[in-house]
Amino acid sequence: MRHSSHSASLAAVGDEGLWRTNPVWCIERLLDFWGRQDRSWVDQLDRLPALLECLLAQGIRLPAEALEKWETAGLLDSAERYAASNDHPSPGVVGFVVDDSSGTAWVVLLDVEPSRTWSVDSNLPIRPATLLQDMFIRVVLALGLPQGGAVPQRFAFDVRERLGRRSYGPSMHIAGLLAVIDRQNNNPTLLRRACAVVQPDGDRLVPVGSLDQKLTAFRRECGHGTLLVRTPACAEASAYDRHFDRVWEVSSFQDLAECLERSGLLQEFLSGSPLNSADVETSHSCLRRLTFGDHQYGEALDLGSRIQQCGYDAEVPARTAREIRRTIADLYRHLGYYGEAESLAQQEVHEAKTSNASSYDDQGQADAIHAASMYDPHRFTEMVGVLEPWLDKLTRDRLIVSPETRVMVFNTLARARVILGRGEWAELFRRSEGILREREPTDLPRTWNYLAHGLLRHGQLDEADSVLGQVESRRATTAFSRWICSFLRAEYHRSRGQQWVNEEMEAAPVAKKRAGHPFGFYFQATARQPGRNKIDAVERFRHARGLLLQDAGSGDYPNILHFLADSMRLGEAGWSNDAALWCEARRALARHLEPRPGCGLAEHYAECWKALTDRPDRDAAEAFLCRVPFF
Amino acid sequence: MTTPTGIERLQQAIAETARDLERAAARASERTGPPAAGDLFVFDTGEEAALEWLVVREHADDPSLLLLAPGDDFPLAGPPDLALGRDLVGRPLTIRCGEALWVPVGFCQQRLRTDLVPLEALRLVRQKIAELARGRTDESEEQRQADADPDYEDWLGLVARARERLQQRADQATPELGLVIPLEQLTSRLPAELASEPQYALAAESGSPLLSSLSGALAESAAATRYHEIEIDNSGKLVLQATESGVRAVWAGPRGASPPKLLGRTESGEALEATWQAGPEGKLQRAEPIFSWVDGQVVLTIATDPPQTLTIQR
Repeated sequence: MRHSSHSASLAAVGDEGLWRTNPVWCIERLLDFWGRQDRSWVDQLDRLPALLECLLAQGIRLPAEALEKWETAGLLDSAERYAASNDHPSPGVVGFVVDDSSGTAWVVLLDVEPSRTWSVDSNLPIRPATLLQDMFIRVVLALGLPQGGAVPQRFAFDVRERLGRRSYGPSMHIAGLLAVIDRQNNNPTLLRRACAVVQPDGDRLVPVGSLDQKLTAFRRECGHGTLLVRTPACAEASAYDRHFDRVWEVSSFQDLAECLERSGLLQEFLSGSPLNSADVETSHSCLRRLTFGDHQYGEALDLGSRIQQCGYDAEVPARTAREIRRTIADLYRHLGYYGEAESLAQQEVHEAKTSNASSYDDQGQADAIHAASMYDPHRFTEMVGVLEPWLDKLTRDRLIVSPETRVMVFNTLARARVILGRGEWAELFRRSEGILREREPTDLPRTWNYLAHGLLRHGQLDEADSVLGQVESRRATTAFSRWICSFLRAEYHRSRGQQWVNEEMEAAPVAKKRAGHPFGFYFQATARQPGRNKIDAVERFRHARGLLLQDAGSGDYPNILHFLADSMRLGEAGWSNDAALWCEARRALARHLEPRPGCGLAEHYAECWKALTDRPDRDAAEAFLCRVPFF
Repeated sequence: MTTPTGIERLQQAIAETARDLERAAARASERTGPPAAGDLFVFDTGEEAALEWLVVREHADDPSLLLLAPGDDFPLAGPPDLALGRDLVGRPLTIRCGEALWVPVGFCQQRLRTDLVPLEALRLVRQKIAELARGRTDESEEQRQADADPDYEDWLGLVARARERLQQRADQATPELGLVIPLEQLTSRLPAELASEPQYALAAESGSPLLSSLSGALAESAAATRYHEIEIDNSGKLVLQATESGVRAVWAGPRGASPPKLLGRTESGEALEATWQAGPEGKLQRAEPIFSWVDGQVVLTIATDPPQTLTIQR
């Protein structure tokens, strides 16, 4: 038989990826093919050893079970002959892919290498790549371990697959996670031949589909396994228990985390040592994603705090450390912890004003951040006091700070003026708009939203409509700007005496981990839209409260989101005429409105607070809500 | 003066061994005639050990029997062993005198002869065997230590098993070789009955390095196969396929024509009748098992009338 004819029959059986990762399946198919015609059937007993020797020489390992099976079938004179050169396959943690047309399951070998950023082979159904990181953090958090000093987010990996088949669905997520853990632990014996037949479903882990085919494929290519991860009471999977050294029964990330912890496989990730520059790059990237991409402020703040607790190696750029510190200050603000946010902002101001290495730009930014941190505690006059000197300076010479800093100063000052109703604000937003058009057009929607908010608060509805239209007509708007725009559009219709809802905003689930407050703002606006029936309105206030509390974290500290949530309770009580709830809301609000240093709430609401009597009063509640600067 | 490095010493040792083997092969090739005392032979024993067998003497009462003692280069030597010095035989060779056996003279074929040892070495071996027979052997401290070494015990166990296998085979009647055909006289041309196979005419070459290697290995295996065709009473053709593993028979005959009875020999020398398995299309039949090479040959008897015996030697 000619060389080319062998090539053709080998290629007809499978491509290189299949031969390398699923050699037993390929050989069985080839034997089946050879066994169909007398001429090749006669030779197959000579061909098989030649094939096996070549595969072994290429470093492709075959399970002893397969060799013994061929020996028993009379296709191989001695399986023993290959024992010396054929170590047991040790592919690590494998995934599976099922061929839809034939129902055949193949083993997917995963190659994992440490990397500076997360990346996953495009054939693998793990998208985005950071999904693995998120799952891993869920596992670590599920343990509730004292990992306050650890930053598992410092690790990043590149995950590749060797089969070369595209796969879909979440069935390989846990395999990918375990493969990463396997790599970081330098391929421990427990994970030498392991598979997981569970997949995430929320916080639960449920059985994967085509389970029997997948475990058959595992046995075929890997032989006796070291670890099977399956759900408890899964009869289909438990039938394979005897083919594995160990079985983990898991029905949640918590269970999986406990199994991993008991096996000592998480320790590698829980180091509290100072972060080197690669660690910082990876964990900062995660921090940015959580903060600016996913708006998961609670998790981001937790990560930021742990990064700071670990500290940095000397090689880490001070600029990066500063960025992280600023992000943490922002996060406190996003989460409503205005006291912490202002305190951190003040530190920035102090540093910018005392450091030899500072600049006008640093000082301008620090003041703008400080002023922004005073928005939540309603200290609008002080905000203006901090920023107006900057406005003067920039009016005289705009080039003393960067365009970005100018935008920060103009927007923050304008927002304060909007609430105070003093001074020019629309012009300031327009100046920012002019800068952004040249400098960073993608940032325009944020400034337009601020402008629209000001216009709405000042009853300039037509202009607001036009500005919101600009945001809505942009194709590439960030989700956050889109959500704020929807809230403002709901406010616009409320102001027009109309009802209006937005599908995307209506579908916001409370449990979903993303910024809740834009949705809370939206639901309060729609609740207050005239003509809405009482049940609907009350339900909307309730939903708004849940969404506002989603980001708020603990209520132990003065927290603006808790204040807003309690305002929603007031709205609910006013609209439903619920006396008990009204009292409860007033009591809760009273705590927020107690005069205290660094907090302007008492002063800001003094008048409308007086109007809130003991009896539920929808109009008084409406007046109170109108005073809230965020709405 | 410079001291050779570890690698240099290893290279020197390899070169020395190669020279020893060349000299041994030269001596063996010069030696002709029937087996005689001092000759060294190799046989298939099925054990993972490179053993040579020294002809110690003829039987005093039956010159058709030879006393053979196994020898090897395993570094440990116990009380029943005799280490022949490099000065005597030009290479390390330890004769395991306690594992000697009697075999028919016909068992030791000229082509299995590898070397011969000088008379002085032969005298020492005979003397050691005589001492063992009398139960009087001197033991050095080194031999006592070796005797207690588990590695030595394992090695001696392996030698004993090889001797048993050889004894078993020697106890069988020496087969009639019939027509002896050297392997190199067989053809590499595929018989028509086995040739060609439907191909994937449209399948392109894969371009994959792994598939190329696998394909090359299969082609190499096919190219190494040699064939011998025998027409059987105009009823069909017996094709003998000689490969690295041994010799397999394939029958190609018209429907209804039965393949002939075929006898071969196992590693222990026992006669074994092949069974025939029909192929999936029923055009070819394959004999089971493949008859392995024993001492470099496969002896087959085809039960035609009259029976034909032929031996393929490599």
